[in-house]
Amino acid sequence: MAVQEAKRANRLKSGKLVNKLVNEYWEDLINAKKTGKKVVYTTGLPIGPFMAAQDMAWIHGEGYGARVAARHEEKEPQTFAENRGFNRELCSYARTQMGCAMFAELGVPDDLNPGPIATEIPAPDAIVTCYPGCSTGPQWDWAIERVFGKKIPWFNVVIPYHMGRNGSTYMKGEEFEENVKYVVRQFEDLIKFLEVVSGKPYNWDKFQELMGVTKTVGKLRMEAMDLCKAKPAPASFFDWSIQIAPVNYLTAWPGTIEAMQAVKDEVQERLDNGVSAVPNEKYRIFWEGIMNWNKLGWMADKFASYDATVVAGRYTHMAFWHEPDTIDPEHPLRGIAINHLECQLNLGYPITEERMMTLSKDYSIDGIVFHGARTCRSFSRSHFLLAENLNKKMGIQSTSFEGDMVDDSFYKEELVNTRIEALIESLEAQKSRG
Amino acid sequence: MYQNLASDEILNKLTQIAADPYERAKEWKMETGSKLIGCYIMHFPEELLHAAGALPIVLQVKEEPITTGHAYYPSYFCGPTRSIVDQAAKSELDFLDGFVGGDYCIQAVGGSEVVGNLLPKVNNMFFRLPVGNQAWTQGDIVTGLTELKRDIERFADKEISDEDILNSIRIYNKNRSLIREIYELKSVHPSLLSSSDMLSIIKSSMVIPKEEHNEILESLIPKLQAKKDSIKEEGVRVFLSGSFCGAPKNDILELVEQSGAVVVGDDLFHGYRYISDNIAEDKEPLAAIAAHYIDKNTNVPCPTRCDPKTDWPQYLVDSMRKHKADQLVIVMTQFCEPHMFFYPDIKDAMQEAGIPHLLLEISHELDSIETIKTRLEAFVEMAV
Repeated sequence: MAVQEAKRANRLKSGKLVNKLVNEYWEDLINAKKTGKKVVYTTGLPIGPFMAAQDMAWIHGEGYGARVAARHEEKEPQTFAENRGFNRELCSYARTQMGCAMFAELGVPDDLNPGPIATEIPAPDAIVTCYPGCSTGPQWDWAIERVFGKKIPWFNVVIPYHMGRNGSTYMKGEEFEENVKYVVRQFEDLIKFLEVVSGKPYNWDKFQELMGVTKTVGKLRMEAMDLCKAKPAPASFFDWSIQIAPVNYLTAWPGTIEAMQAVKDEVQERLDNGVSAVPNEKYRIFWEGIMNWNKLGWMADKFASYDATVVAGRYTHMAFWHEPDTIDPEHPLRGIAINHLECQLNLGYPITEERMMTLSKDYSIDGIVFHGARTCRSFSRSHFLLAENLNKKMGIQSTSFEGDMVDDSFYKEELVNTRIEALIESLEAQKSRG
Repeated sequence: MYQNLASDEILNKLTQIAADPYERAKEWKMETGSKLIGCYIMHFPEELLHAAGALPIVLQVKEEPITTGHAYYPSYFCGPTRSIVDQAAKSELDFLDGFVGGDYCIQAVGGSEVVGNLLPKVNNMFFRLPVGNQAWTQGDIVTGLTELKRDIERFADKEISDEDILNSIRIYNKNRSLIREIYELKSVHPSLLSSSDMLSIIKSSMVIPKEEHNEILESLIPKLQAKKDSIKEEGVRVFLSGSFCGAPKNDILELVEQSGAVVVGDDLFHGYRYISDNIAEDKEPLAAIAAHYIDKNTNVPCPTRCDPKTDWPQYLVDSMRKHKADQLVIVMTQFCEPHMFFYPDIKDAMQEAGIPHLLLEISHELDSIETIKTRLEAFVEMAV
């Protein structure tokens, strides 16, 4: 029987550098209009460098939703969105950002008292959608476009689903090559669109420089995560979730190379000194699903209590510049397209399963936790198949529970406790059988 | 064959087909030895599959509770996708030779992935239909059609000529035109056909050879024409909207009419949306089909298409006026994200236009029919 003791996850300390950058980014964004910058709303993939090259500010819808939730300010915008008629089964990132956008456009109703971050969002000058493997993104951005009176120019980069037709596999095959060309052509059109919005010729030199930064940060992160194949792992999936901003909405932000280098150095130092993410690692877990931002710290400690390290996840390890070597900063569009096309949500089932099996082997995974984010159906669509097939093909045990990204009303804590405990017990039994 | 039957007898025949939607297709397969292709709702070029000598059928939601499928697809996904997964899990779709999925909704993508896994012997094809309406969208749809045509040709081992496609377009256009004629009749004489009858007409069209369906409709329409003036018209005029992908439940349609309303028009997928517009017969066929996706979305806007040049709420206001409808009943499939994103805009548009509307969010399991009945009765009574 697994016994839960009050143990704490040993989180990376270098994450504080990232916090500093995050604060700088939000400060810049909030004051964008005052400093004459155009503001672009984006959802989906990290495409900040496209706008940064033109000295424009950008808001990443999911990043904004996560920040609002991390500061526990999500209830008021979610309530506002629901009062207007948005169903609570809609993507909770979308509901949160829609609520904040409506505060900006319609004003704050008398019966709501939102926090400062939820009311700081500046109105958009343009909207750029770049969403992989999810129909929600473009529909969400279209709803934003309507909130602002159908006056905001909107560019939608269509990221085609990489199903795996006619033998196409990860980064290979006819379908893959067709998709890359298609996305590159759209990026070329996006650049023309941004020239119009910004009113000036595209600054390719700056863009290339930023993509050089992106490549370096991507490599540092992948190398640092790679170090966690060691047993015990020096850092966990929860650390990589906390450190996601420099490869997400902070992509190519000044200081991200130094911040990610510090993270990698700390992981290396831990490895050299035998310091682990969980004090007494007995089990190695794969987190399958999107992160639950308002439960992150609680969850990290929960697994630590069971001597279980969550060492990898599809969210962190199969996206966010996870193929940095494909980026040629001199000619960056193809590399950007590949990273976006081959990310975790955009792959057909057989490709997803193959990538999961590879990661499970590389990270010596004992068990999988399927976090069924109730309002992120893109992520949870293949959970049941993955659970069955990874067990059948690799003998990996799993558990699953429902939760959400930023709406904790979908969370049943006692059920989560029971499910995690059941997984740990089954892993313990498996280990004792040898 | 149908010419000697009365309109009610023909409608009964269509109701039987709709009630057991795959039976005629299975017979057709036995008779012809040709391939049957399931189209995973909601956007797919049936004409291309037909041109290859196959019979495309639109996979249908079954009203029975989901059981085996629970092991493969989470309960918080929409009923239409879960129902099709359930049918595949119960080996009820083993008769298919292939199926075509699409990327317009992530729940349909996921459902296709599961069905592909459950039916490994069935050829799993995919239609890439880019969203939006930018200068290049129509050309990109042609590319998606070309890719699908290539995959169908490989699967069917048959080259599809432009003449083949054009021939199929003509047959499908005829079907759409005939059903639109019935819609025109029903708008003026709403009691001529119940909304369940209309559903049977559309649903049967989706699952049997269009040539046969055309023949049935050509027999039915003159009989309806002859009957129309003898029908007594009464009731609150209601327009039905929504219910993407899956057919609205017959129980709900019957309740609308039992509440004292008559349905004068709709934009249901199993309704006017399916047949709203023809494909041009005087253009290069793939370009014509691509243009059709843009045009039909202008005529009856679809929230999955993300085309900011369209205005679904205004379309509904205009349709209500065109059909002299008094009230709008919105049937929203539970967990249908594209519909959920649009409801606030529809609500605002209806309030501004002074049109009463009722939102019914319908779960696949239909937890409480009595609640829906009470709400519908109270709503319709408002207009009496």
